[in-house]
Amino acid sequence: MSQYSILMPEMIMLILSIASFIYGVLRRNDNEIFFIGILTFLLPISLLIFSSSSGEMIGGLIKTDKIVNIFRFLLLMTGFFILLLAYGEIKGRTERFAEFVFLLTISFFGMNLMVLSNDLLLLYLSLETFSLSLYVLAGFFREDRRSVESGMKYFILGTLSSILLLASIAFFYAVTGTTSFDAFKTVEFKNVTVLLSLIFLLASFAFKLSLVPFHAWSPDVYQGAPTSVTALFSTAPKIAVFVALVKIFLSGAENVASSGLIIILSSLSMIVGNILALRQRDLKRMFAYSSIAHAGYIFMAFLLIDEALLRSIIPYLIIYLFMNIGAFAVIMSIKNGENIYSFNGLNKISSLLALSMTVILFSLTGIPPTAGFIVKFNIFKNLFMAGYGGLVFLGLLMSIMSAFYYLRIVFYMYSEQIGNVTLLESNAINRYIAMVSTGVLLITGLFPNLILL
Amino acid sequence: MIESSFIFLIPLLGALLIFILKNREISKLIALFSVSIAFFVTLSIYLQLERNIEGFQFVTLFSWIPQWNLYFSTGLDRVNAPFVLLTSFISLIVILLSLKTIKDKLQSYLTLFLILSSSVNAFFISTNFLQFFFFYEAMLIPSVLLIQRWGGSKAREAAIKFLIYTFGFSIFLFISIIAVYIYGGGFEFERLYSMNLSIQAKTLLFVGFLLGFLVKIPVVPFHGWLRDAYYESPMPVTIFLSAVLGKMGIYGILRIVPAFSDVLINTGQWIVLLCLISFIYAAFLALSERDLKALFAYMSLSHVGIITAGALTGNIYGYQGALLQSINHGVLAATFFYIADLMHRDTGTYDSEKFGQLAKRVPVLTFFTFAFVMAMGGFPGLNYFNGELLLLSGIFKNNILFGFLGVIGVAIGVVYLSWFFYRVFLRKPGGDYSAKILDIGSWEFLIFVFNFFIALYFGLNPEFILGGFKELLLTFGGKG
Repeated sequence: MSQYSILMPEMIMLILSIASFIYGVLRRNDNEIFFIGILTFLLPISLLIFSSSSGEMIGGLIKTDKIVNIFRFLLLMTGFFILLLAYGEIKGRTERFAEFVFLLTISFFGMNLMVLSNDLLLLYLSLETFSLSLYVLAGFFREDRRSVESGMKYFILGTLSSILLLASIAFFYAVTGTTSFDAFKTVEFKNVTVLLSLIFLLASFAFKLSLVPFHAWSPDVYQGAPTSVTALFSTAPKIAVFVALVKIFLSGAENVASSGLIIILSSLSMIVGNILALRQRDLKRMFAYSSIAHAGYIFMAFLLIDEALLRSIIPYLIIYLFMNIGAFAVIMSIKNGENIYSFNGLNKISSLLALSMTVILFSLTGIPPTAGFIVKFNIFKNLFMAGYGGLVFLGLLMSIMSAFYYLRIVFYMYSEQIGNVTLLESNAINRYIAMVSTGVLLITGLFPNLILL
Repeated sequence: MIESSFIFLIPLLGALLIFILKNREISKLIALFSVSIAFFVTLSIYLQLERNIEGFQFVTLFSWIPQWNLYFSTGLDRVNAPFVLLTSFISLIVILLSLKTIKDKLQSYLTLFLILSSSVNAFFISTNFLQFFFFYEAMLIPSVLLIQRWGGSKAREAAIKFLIYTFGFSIFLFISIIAVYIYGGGFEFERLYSMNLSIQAKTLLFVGFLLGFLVKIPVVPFHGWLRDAYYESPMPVTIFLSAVLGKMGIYGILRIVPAFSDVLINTGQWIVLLCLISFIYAAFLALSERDLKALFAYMSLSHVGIITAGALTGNIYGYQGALLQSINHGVLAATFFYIADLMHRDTGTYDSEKFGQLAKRVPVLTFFTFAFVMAMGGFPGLNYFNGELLLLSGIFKNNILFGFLGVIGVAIGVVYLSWFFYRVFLRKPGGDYSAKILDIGSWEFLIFVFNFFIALYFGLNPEFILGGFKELLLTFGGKG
């Protein structure tokens, strides 16, 4: 029984979310459901803080260590923030808040399981668990045509990626006779079937990470989905998938000569993401392209091996999470926040909110003293040391381009023209989330030793 | 015990206090107080500095990024100390001017300005490249916001242009710094000096550094941001931009050239030529300009050209001249922009065609303007003369033809300055606006007297800036 202690937080999540669903459907009291939802995240978080253990269980199906535990914690925290963000948005617009909270918590259960998994089959199961919830969440506003379209699009294309993953697992099993990550250490990478399996795996993951050319779904889905769900899309699933990919790479897949593929995917993502973001006036679409670009920066790190890979990717993921959560918290504190013109003159209404958004946007651009600079510098430095100078140069060029579209928002906020900015009073908590993220970005930017490994 | 980090911590503390207290009157006091304290701390450190010692003094050191084996360390030596003094002094003047001219959103203005001043000083006193780059970029945030929020009608474009140019070209700096980390084994400045690279690699590294710095200074092909940024900014920010921010690039060059003495002999020559072309080209631009603010912006552009050329000559005269002239230029450029602002404040225009016969109406301003025109024109005994002499002898030592170009540029400089003086102060048909101009108040009088005193003192005693540079002759590739 003691070996199940590793999985304790996730089990509590599962039980609580099912309980909240049943209770919520029967009672239909939004505040109570919200309270249980918060518990669903906070209990596992406190459990993780006070008794996190590392090790293996169920014969190596699940494997965790310190870093995985950090990401379990971060994912749960993201879930907590997203729930807070969603409260104001979803509660007012639909009767089905209980379903929303259930889907949200279940999707985070799936992501945590994905981070924990050490086996391709468990990986597939957890991926499906959270993907299925996300399909529904994307189309949650049934009256809104765009939301439904977003859900459908995500579902159809998402299924394709699941099929690719299944095919990959099948190929892998055919050669090695096992689905454990550990088999990557011993497998013969010259074998065409194994290579094909790895390519399928990368393609399937690239879809979830919205790397170009697997990105076509993301702008439409981001735009159509409820804003809190968009905030979720841009952070948690990407982090879960990236961590899973890191685990796969570190367990041996890095030995395969996939650097050409990684270079193509990441440089295309940086170029396309940054260029297409330039013309967006809808912030949700803009953040879709921006997260494509950021996925490109992060994906570059997979060219590195062992320690260097971990050291580059983990700080970036942490900071990326805070930047996106913070940005969406600001967007959701303003009426019609997805429209860039709604930011006109925000500084006059709430200078603190404008300041938070400024810090977040400068961080996304990668300008010190914010944390965005340090983590970007970290990745680029490690890549340069590994001899990928050209790719670093491309990344830097593209991050200059990103200054245009991020800082345009800053200029709108400090514009003198009287806009019609209205703060949503029901979403007052969003402002605190934005400020917390800003604080994290500034403090870790000034004291980088806190996040660098 | 005074430490060098106080220089940038004091304004930062002031900014924080203003942000917290949110009181207009108190914020004025805090701003004035913090920049004056910072100035006096800088001055006292400057006076106590041992000029004969190479290496940093008044060092503040604590562990910053242990993962990269990096300390946060600040310190002053004879290269950066004059720049720090200049920044603190100009900050004081800028705050004095801002309190008079900036009317709306004063608290946020002062907060941003103190952050800007603090980060620029932190840039100058850094002793490793990462910190150097960190503040080099960090200073973009307050300056862009200052230009955009308090600037003129096209301020948004000006701000984004300034940002994109600086941020864009800083990627070359970024890559060069990473290269220093990889091949030198650390971010400290000394690593650059002790690196063993082939001449080709060194040239590449040098060009990388230069591309970053030349945009910041700026030198002609990279000057696209300059006119808009200088013209659209509010006057105090323009003063800070031209007097201090441009010097960040020059300081960077002065910091790196000792490591590249062999590169300077070949590639450096072309860049010296480029800087001299920039010097003359901008002088011609200034010659044709009738708008006072734009005229002084181009004058600034022109002068930093020859300063950069001097810094890159690779001999001690040019190096010393660049250091001395950066400080002189900072003080005088600030004064000229201040004069333009006085005109603008009373009349609302910068157009020099609309003025005339001011000499009769405002004798005190005329006296000071003439004195500063003389100083800027290179009158012996005033500060610019020494710097120009050193710069020109450095350039002549390199190449006679270059020296000839430099002399032409200096000559054109005298022409546009005297035309400016003639048009605005002497010309007979008095303009419509001249009647509105009042003579300077006691505040400006004090500032002008002080600046004139500086011009005179540096003119007679350039050792104040250059002290301790004599033995550098030996360390500088032996090219005396």
